[in-house]
Amino acid sequence: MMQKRTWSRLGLALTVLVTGLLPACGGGGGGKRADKAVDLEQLDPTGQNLVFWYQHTRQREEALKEMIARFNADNEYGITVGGEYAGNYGAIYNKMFVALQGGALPDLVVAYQNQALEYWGAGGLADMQAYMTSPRWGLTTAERSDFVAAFMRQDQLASGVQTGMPPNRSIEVLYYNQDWLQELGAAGPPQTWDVFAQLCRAARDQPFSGNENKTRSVGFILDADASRLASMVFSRGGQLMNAEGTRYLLDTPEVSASLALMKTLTKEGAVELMGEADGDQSAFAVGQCLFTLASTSGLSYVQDAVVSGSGFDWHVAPPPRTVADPVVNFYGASISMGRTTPERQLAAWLFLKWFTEPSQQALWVEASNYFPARKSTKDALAGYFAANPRYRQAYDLLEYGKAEPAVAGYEGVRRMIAQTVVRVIQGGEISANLERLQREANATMESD
Amino acid sequence: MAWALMSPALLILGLFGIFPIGYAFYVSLHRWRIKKESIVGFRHYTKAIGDPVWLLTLVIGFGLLLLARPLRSRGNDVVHRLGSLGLLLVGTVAGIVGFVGMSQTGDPRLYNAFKVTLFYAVGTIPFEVVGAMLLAYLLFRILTARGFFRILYFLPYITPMIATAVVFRTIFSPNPGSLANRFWGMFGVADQRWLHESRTIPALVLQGLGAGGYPDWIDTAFPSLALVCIVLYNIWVYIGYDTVILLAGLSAIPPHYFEAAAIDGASQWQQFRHVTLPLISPALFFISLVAVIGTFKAFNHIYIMRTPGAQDSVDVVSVLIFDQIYQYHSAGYASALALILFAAILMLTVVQNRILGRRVFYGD
Repeated sequence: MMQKRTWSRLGLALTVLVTGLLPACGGGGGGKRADKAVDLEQLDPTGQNLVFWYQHTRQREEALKEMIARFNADNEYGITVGGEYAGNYGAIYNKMFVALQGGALPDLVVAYQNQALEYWGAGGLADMQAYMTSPRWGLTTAERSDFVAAFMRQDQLASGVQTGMPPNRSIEVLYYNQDWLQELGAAGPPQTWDVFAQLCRAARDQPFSGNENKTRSVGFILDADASRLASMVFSRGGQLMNAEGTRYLLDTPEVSASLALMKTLTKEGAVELMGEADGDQSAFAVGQCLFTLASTSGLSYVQDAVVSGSGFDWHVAPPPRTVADPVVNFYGASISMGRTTPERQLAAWLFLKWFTEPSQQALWVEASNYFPARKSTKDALAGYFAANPRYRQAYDLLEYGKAEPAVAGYEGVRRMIAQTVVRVIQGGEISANLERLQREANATMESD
Repeated sequence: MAWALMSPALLILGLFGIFPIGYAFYVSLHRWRIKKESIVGFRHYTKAIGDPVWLLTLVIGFGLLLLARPLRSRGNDVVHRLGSLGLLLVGTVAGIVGFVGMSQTGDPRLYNAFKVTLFYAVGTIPFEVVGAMLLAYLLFRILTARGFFRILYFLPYITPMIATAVVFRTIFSPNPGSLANRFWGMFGVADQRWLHESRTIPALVLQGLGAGGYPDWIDTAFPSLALVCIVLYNIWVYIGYDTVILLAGLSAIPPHYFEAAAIDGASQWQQFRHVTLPLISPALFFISLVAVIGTFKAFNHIYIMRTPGAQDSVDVVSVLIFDQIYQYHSAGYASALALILFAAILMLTVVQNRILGRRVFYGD
């Protein structure tokens, strides 16, 4: 009897503890938030201390810290930005996930568009539209049109809300071994996928003279990654998602044709499926692979790898295509503003505005190898272009950019795409696999 | 006074044990992408495990199976025998029908994840425990350098898992120069894709033998080559830990038990079977219990070693839960999956405790 009573007391105590704590963790968020309408023009951002979560490391972080220090020293409002390395994109998302439950949001955070969409949906971000158009604090019309429109559009919702600002972007280009192409008798990089296929077969049959391991010679190493497939699909005039952003388009003829070509070439031994991380770039650097499709953010890596590898002449070009104009896949994270207090948000905006000025952009580009988001930065990059001709080649492709879907859950769909690519390359039937991919990807749009 | 003394422990238990479970349950009842949205009740649970009618059928099936034994023990006459047999048959059929119905109406990814988890546990635990037992017994018998070997076997366990998983990823790389490909190459085996291979070993063997095609079940009834690589890694990490625990158990056995058995003419095997094994059964029970719970919760190294090439053949339940939160941004569904996993581990532990716990010898 006594034991029974003890247990019921114990149960009651735990129930009280659990039920008492549950509402406290309802994710209400704390602090004075910028909920009600305020007169932006009358706000005073003086003396605000801000937190900026970013993912940059090494030289990029050092350069960013230097820039932040300069802003802190020079800005007329005494705003202090504290830059914090918060891990990679995934780790930042995790931290934001926790911050959104507790309410301690950073003032500035690096976020991909699909992540920003999640934060916005959870009420964690500030809309930048009002700041951008503010007569006192905003950008002039000329300044706004100086941003690459496609970059800016990536962070805009259909309702006009601006969830972030692009400080930089990268594009996906075809790296090619110029010396090997000459040995194969080709005048230049392939303009079409048919020529690409022919050159891959030729590379399989005729290894590069600078390749020390001639038992391995392929035209292309396929990284089973959604961005690689997106590049191929874009270059055939396709899309991965409809214009409204409501439905994936993963079973289209463009996706099918892209996979069919890769499957055929893999079967013929002219293309290899990538095994290790960055295995395509490593093989490219030692002359075992004629082409590689990769981000321009890796230009300096490839440069160093080729110098210590086979030391050949290499360049970048847009991916082969079936459409008239080149198309390149562009991507990159933006910087979003956490929903904090009106004064803090304004201070965060002022930092962001400063950070995207052409003079700062030029400094950032040189430190990071990214592409600037503002067109006029080009004027300040003459010296950098001269020293980095391949960067210049890629820079000229910016106007042909097309973006991947920016919807919640796209991270998971990327993995599904990668798995489908592997399944098909390993012998799976294309239409059945794409049908399944389409069904599963669209199911994530309705997930709970 | 008693409550005052218990309160610190209760508070810690409540805050870090009970409360997270309660909160996870609360989250699972909501559409909760990054923050709480609408309430969905038990929809996440039915989406995961399937139609509740089939679950009920399964539970009834189990209930009938549990009733069969007491009925049989009530009497040895034909009525009791037939009744017991009938309950067994009906219970088995109901259990199978219920399970099939659940798997057809539930989330196929969850059922696949449970299958992978089961393969992982079955592939790991017996080899790990038997291997550790052998190593411990060998160490117990040798008198020199026992400390050195103990440290040597323990090293994989204390080395950061992320680091060793990355090393194994390199060893089992599909690269022709990888250690695994070089090793098997010496025996004339063609280069394999290892961690990037979603096909099973029987399927690869059949393909290697030139069989044009093979039935689909070959790829579903066995673990993939990628999972086998991860199982090998897990055995390598935990065998040393188990060895040290078992060695401690062996060292605690008074030597005169062996002397007495030897005087009575017991062979080495008889000594092991009738003296060693019963006396280290508490340690064996402990490591098998921890291994079952550990394999069902395994995450870090699997996450590091999984590749797109392996498809979902290495995605255990904990990996599926992680993906639901961080890739599909669905914390509500992920919480429901976490609680289903929790229930599965709890049931397994109870069953294990009831079956193996009775065989453990704790002394007179």
